[in-house]
Amino acid sequence: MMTIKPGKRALWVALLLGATMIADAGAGRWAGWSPDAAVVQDGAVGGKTGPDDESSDLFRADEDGAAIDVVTVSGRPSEDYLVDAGELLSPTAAGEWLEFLRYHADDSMIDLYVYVVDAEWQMQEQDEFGGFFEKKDAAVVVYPLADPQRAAMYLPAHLAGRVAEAEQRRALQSSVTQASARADVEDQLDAFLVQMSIRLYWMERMLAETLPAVEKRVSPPPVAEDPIAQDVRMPVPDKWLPWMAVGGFATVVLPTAWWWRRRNASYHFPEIVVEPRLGGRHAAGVGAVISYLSAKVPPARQRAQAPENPRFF
Amino acid sequence: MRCPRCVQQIHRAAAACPHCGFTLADAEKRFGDGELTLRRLTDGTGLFRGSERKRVMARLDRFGRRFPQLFAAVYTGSGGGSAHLRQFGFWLLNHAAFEDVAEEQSNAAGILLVLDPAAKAASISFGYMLDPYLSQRDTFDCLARAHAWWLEGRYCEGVVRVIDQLDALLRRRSGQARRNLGRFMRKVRPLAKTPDAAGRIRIDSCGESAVIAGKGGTEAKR
Repeated sequence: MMTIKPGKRALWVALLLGATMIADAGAGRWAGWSPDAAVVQDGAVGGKTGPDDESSDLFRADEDGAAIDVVTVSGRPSEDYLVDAGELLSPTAAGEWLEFLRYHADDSMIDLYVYVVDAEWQMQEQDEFGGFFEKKDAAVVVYPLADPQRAAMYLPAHLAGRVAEAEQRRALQSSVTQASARADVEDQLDAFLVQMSIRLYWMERMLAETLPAVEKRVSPPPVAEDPIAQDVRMPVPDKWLPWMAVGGFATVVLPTAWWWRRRNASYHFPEIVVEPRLGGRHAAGVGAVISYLSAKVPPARQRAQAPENPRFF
Repeated sequence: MRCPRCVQQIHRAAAACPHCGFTLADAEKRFGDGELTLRRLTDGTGLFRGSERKRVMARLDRFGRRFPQLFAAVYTGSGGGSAHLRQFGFWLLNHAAFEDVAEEQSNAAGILLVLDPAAKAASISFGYMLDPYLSQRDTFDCLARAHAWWLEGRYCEGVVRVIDQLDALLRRRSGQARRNLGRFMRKVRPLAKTPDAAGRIRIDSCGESAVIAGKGGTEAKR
């Protein structure tokens, strides 16, 4: 199995993001492709589902135990991002992926919850799944180990309604494609998670334009209904408004006035009596002579101090 | 203060250069003794296009508004080569009558930029009024601003920069004169002529002592 440490995974995610930006041709890319993977929206099974899922119960274990209730599989709704109730993964690999999913959760506004189930798992109609995740900005993936084609993704209602269904399907399908290109079971899961993380990033960017709720983590928390706090907050602009006006005046008007006055100022010199010299009635002030014959010689060296005729020395 | 011909330092009231004997009469022999009527911008060699002349004139007008006592003038033409350019500037400022300058304003309040495109040289001369406030170093700084432009043949740009630099320099000097006039008066105060023990005249000029003439001799050294 190709093992990538969490830090390096972040780098991989960044690289793959760039590659995806270039290579992804948009909605038409997967138009003719119909995997078994399913997208579950707001408790309803959407997209193409598994072969035997027409009337099944997705998240509740059936009587022969082939289907798994992913919410209660660990006895309670799991707070962890990776649930491997059947202990199908090696502890080391599970730990690394969990670390990766935590990193993703830190970095992204849409968390990714992954339930690893065995290949025998069958998608069924869900009725319990939405409860835990309903209020979360999260995507839930049920991933049958060694059979990524049958992976399913769930988005809660408030996200599913704002992300185009084609985009949801593309996210899942591209992840499945990445996984299917690997032979090793754990490599498959690795590729799947990395690709899903990338797709969620794009989904998050789409949502950022349309869904203020997704930005709640970066927006300031709502102010409590505290009358004292409101009293403190409201009068501040009124109180400081005159000072702000004075400050603005001082910042803009005074420098402008200073500049205007300086621009139009006139300057005078005290007149000092100077004795005429060399017979000049008005002037005998001889300044520098500069030559500009050569671009290679600096002006200081072209400062002509040569007398008219050296014989005077 | 230097002699326009031999570029040696001379004292502030020399009737003739103690080194080469130069006076205005020598310059008149070379350039003529008649009076010359000029405008503040006299483009004798046709260096400037119409728009450029307007631009230079605008700068000269602004200079006049900033410094009501002074005027600046630009002359382009042959000054007899770079070796004679100082003499030419000295002569021109003493002989020119600027028709677009107020009559009550003497050439002593003028600053003249002479540009000789044939010799590829330029010089600045100034009247007695500015003697205390401008040094040769100052004028060199002004001309150096234009060096790059003149090398490329962009005379208007260069002239504008010379005037702008003069403008900035004289504003500074005006402030300094207001704060400490004594500093500038010392440069042009009447000479203290005290004979020493040998009967020679020792001149104390701005902290420099110079022996300019002995009894019956022409010894001159700094």
